[in-house]
Amino acid sequence: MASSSTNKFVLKSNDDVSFEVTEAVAREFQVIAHIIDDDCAKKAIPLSNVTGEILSKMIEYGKKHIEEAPVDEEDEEGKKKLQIWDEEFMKQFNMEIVFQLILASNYLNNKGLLDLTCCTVADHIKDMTPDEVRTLFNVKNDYTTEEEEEIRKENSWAFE
Amino acid sequence: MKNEEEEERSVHEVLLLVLPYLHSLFELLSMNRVSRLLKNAIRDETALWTNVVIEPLLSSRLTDEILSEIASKSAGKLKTLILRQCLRVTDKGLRRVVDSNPLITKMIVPGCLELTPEGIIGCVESLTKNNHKLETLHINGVYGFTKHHIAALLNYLPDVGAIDVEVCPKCDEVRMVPACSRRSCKESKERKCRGCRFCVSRCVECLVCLGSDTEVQEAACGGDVLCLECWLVLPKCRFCNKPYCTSHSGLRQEIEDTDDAARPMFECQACYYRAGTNPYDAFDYQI
Repeated sequence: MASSSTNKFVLKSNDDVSFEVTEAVAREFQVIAHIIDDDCAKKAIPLSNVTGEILSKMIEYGKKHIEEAPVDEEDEEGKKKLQIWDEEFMKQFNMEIVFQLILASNYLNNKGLLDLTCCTVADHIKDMTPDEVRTLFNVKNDYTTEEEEEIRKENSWAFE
Repeated sequence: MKNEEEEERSVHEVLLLVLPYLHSLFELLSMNRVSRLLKNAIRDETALWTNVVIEPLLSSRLTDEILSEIASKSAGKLKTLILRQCLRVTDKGLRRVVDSNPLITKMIVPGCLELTPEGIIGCVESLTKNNHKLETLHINGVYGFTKHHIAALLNYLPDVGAIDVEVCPKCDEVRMVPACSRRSCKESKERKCRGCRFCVSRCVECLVCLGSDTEVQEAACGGDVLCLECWLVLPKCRFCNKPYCTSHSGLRQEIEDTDDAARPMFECQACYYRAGTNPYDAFDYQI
């Protein structure tokens, strides 16, 4: 464990912003952990799908979860504290940023952050109508009128 | 143009990642109506259908036929079946789902009033065949369970705590017996306060048992009681000074205040209706 706190790695975003992080933080992202294990992390690790803005937030999350990790499974207080921090952490973002965080945490494979961000969106769209979801995600309605009628019939037991 | 296409793809990718986190069937069904791409993705992803959660308001609309159709979407891989207060689901309907989905490990059917103890025992028997293990069974609010039924169920579910109800050691009825949050009760093996909510009075917030040596406070939700610690921190009615417990906090009649900095105030329903202190009514305090 001593070595992982002194070893430093450099992560580079797709808009050329570099971040120096400890090995423990780097290993929070499984894809990067694999790169380290394969001994391919001598130079800066390029992350072609992540912008500097998003990467800095992800590192902030990773750091917090390393520093304040609950002592063990029984550490209810520690878990609770981290959960409250998670909630506050998510409050600062608009949905656009949350979407990017979802894609990035999926890409870098951080289960904790993926869960957190996806839950945030799931909560957000919970009571939305299909139209509101379309607006939020900027999705086009590709149904014809007949198809819409058909789906309405199919689900009429639930919605009418 | 290419950018737009790319953006559309990534948006769909986000939606697909979020789908497994949707809470219940209602949300999944309403996502169906967003776009064809999404609908097809939901239909093809059988993993999304391995947990079926049906809660009010959808509960009362669910019939045996619809349940069977929804359960079939997981292609026999249904793992968690949560039906809360589904008043129209019968033993036959549940059995049909269980028979075609032998991998169910959680069956949570509280308040499904059409179900009977015999029907549920039959389902449990079927689910524990071939060394398959049913991990969780919630049946609180299903009528007619006796201690003999519970004993029969325990033959199939050896894990203590797999069933949400048990036989209350005080009144011998089948009821929920909550764990006490008092430290001395937790540590003692022979917990004296073990009992259902009719036999042992408990704080509705923290479930601590309220014996003769503890101070008991009344909550605004009729008949519920609180321990002093919980009572102190909960917001209280501005007239009678009684708080609502967290689960009844929706009953608060919030009082609008022009001053944003002021602490939010509310009245309990009893005071609100009795005193007629609706802010829109003029109320003369100088009687």
